[in-house]
Amino acid sequence: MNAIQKKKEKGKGTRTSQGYISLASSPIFVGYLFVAPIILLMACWFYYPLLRSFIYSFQDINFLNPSAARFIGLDNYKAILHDPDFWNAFRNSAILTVIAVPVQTMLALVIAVGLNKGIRMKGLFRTLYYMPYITSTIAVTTVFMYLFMQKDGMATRFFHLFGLQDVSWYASVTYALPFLIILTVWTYVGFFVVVYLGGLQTIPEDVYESSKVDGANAWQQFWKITVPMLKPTTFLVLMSGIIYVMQIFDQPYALARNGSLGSPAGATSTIVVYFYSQAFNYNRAGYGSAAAFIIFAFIVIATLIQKRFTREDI
Amino acid sequence: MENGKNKWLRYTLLALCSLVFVVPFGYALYTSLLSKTDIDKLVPIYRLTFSNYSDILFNSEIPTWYKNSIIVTLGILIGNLFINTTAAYSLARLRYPGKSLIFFLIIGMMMIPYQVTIIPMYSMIVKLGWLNSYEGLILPFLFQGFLVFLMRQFFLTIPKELEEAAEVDGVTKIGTFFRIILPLSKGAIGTQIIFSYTGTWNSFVWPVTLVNDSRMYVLTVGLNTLKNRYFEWPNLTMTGVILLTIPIIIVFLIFQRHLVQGIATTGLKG
Repeated sequence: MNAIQKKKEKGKGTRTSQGYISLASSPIFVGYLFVAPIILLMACWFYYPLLRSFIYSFQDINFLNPSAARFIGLDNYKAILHDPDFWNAFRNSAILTVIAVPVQTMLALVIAVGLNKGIRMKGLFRTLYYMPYITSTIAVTTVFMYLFMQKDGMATRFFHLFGLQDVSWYASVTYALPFLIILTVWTYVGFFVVVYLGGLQTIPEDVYESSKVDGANAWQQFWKITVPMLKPTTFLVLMSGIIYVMQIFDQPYALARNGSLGSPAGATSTIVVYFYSQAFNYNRAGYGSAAAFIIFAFIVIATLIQKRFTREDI
Repeated sequence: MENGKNKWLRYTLLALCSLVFVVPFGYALYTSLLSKTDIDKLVPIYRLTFSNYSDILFNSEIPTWYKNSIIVTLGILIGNLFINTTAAYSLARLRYPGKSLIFFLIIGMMMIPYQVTIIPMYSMIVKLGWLNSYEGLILPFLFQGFLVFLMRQFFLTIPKELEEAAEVDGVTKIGTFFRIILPLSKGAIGTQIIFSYTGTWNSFVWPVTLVNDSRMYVLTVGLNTLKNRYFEWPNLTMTGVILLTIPIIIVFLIFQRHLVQGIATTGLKG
């Protein structure tokens, strides 16, 4: 059907079956039709709230009485940066990230290399390693609380053999953060193993073959071939690891039980826990929004720093 | 080639690692089968019992929470499959003005943490009167930037010739999508199902914020309250853990092949 006919039909305002077909064949019409739902939903449930939150962050606004909102400039941001609770949460998140991310990345790499070649039941191992990642964080935290319970907890007893105290880890100011670190690493390692296994498939076999001819042993192959060639994968693993770990919230929420968020005594308060309790326990919508944008900024900064590091070495 | 001793060492190390991953699941399953008097004891198999399961299924709200989780997960899954897939096809294959801006807006969502949108979203839900409702739990999550990206990457790999041939035969763009492209996309759709399903089934922050009526709890929120209430009874809480986990493991085992492919084609879940 040609353009003139199309125009005619439009002009008459009638829609023959031919008209429908021409619309259904038009890439412009179908293109917009197919993205229309997501554009509408995205506008309502993502970009509008994003803009709103940005405005809130400069307002003194409370969930209980939103009509009394007033602009206060940067006061929310300033107050957060002067709040010792925020810096406590920041410290916890930083420790968590700096320990958990490298540990889980190295473990994942080593397990993936071990699993990659000549192993029977590779699929079974992969499934086992992956299960923690797809299990609900609430379920995992619940199980770990029993494992790390005073006296009867299996893990508590195990670590007690090495001289650690016999306490309920999740309820101890000293042990709660290490508990959270172990929980985090356990949850994410398997996921990154699968990611690394994907990366390992991209290394051509003949690179190893020719290095063997040159007399390289397995150790040299690992450092001179595997690690450098996996650099792009490592970049992804580190980047998403940092984002996941900085976002940790469910686990501290669950282990606080009926106590206040971040229990015991703020030992498991992460930046997201801080954000959540400000926003939803104290109903401070404006203050909470400012905290959210600070978290966003941290993630951007962490990504940039990390990008620089992986570009230069390894 | 690798010698036998080395190989055994590798198997042993891998098995030890798996032990660390398996023990918590084993503990949960075992404890869920213990009677009250046997808690924290090692007992022979004949002492194990399913009584905790019947207790919990008949005397707690778990069946309601199951129903809620299933409704919410299915609602979001269907929405995701439809909305993400059509959007991805549009971005991968159709040409129209403004496309790159739309692509940028969709991809942009992947980089932004949920904290910067959840507060106004909550206010909107309050205004709409959707606290404690399926609408509130489902509607904001019908689309997902990451899954659009995943599907788009997949559609880009389908040879263009197929669509050109369809066009010559007079098949419309919509017909091409439904009759030619979708049947070729089963693998990618499998990947989408597993990501969307596990993400929704396990989601916690939004439901715990939005729902305070226990009849509208989803399973994750329900389990959390169950754990707080019956913390002294690990056999009961572990039964809850198993009931929450089993559906995920079943779906995972069915679709895991697609998951591995999905991670390979897109790099990662964002």
